[in-house]
Amino acid sequence: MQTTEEYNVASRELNQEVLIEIRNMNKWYSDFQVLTDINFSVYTGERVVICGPSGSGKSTLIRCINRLEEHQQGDIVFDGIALTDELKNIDKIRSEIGMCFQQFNLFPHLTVMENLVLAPMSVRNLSRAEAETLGSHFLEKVKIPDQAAKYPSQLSGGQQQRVAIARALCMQPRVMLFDEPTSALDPEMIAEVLDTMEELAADGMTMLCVTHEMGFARKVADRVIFMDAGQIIEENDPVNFFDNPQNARTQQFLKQIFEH
Amino acid sequence: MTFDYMAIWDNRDILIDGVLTTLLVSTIAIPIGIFIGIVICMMRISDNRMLRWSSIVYIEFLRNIPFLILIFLVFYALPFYGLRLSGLTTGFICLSIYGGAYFAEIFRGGIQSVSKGQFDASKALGLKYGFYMRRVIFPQLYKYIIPPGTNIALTMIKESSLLSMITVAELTYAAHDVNGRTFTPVETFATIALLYWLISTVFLKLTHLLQVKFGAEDTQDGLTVR
Repeated sequence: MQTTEEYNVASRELNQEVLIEIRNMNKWYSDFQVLTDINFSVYTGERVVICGPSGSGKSTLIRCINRLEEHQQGDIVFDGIALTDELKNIDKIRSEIGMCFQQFNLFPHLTVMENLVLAPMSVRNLSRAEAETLGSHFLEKVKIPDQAAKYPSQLSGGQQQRVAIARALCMQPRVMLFDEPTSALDPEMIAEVLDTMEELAADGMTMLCVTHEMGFARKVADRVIFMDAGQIIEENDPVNFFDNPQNARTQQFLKQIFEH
Repeated sequence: MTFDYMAIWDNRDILIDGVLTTLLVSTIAIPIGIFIGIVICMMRISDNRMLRWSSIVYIEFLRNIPFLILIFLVFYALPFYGLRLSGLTTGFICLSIYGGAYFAEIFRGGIQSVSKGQFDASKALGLKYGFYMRRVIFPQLYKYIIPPGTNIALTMIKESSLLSMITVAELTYAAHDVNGRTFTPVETFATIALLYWLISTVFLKLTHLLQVKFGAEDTQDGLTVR
């Protein structure tokens, strides 16, 4: 797969406004250190892909950004707000960060539209009519406008994940986190979710994706981060990352992935 | 031996009063027990160590002593500390706190059955704790908690018979009364067995309807969780 020119980092000027900054971050599960000396920033409008073998701490890292996991050392700063125990900050940050999960995590007892309007009405204090307008708009965007009245269990996996993306977008977040969004999907459904994510990228959404979809990374990412054993091993633009990896572990990982 | 129907019929007022008292105690203690169960369960799963530990003490204490001893403690021991409660009040309190301990564990089990991803998604959307518990988590609990909750409620109805030991004139007490007047133990206790069965069956039917409402399918072989 070749780099598409319109998405390529070289062809676009990146905003230099730092949206997420992580400094010297460490995290342990009791005695076991899962993340070690994590340092990186995400700029507004940037698309960052994090890859690495399973157990390398990729998911844990992005789950720290909206405080689904707590870090013990270092700083995570989102748009100038430090992520601490302060509940006010956590609520504020979460309402500005959208997230999609491997298992979709739609609310099974609510219809698609109810899934979409719940947070905008509760957190943003929108009226039902306003929230539903917003919901319809984003359902349209993820190309399932006619499924609003259905329950999640009546949809295919790909459709469910697109609803999950729409649900996150309804909060009009500043950045979208994706935690292996296609790993639970059948192969024929992966494409429809990746297409949706690409469109999101084309719209200028800031994105941080943990994924094994290297085609997506090559095409859409401005920067690829490789993690192993809780550390960031290598960080580069996709062209150099895939064609000219520096670290031995990165080389080995890419070799294994592309052997098939 | 003949079955002396008249002994029952002549004393029907006593037995009816007994049924009403049993129903009264149960219909008050079950909802209060559920409420206590919710509170204790929230304490049990909270991050606050104090709340968590006091809820564990509460649950362990009440689950590990016989109900009869609980009512004796409240009815006979508390007066030594200046707290004298009537039999009926003791009954309400004991049955409620006893049921509450079991309900708390059932609710906790239910919450643990809801996938962790539901909590993740709620938090990631910025929903507040109270809001997502009420609108996202609890609605998914019903199908998990109604069957075991029904069991506990039934147990509470039946355990209320022990209140006869502290002069509460519920159904079992009424039976002793009737038996004392007529000496017809077979008739009397067979009748109240039937009455307990009747109360329980009606109650089961009600929870059955509740369960269908909250997403179990009514099939020929009973209820299946969807």
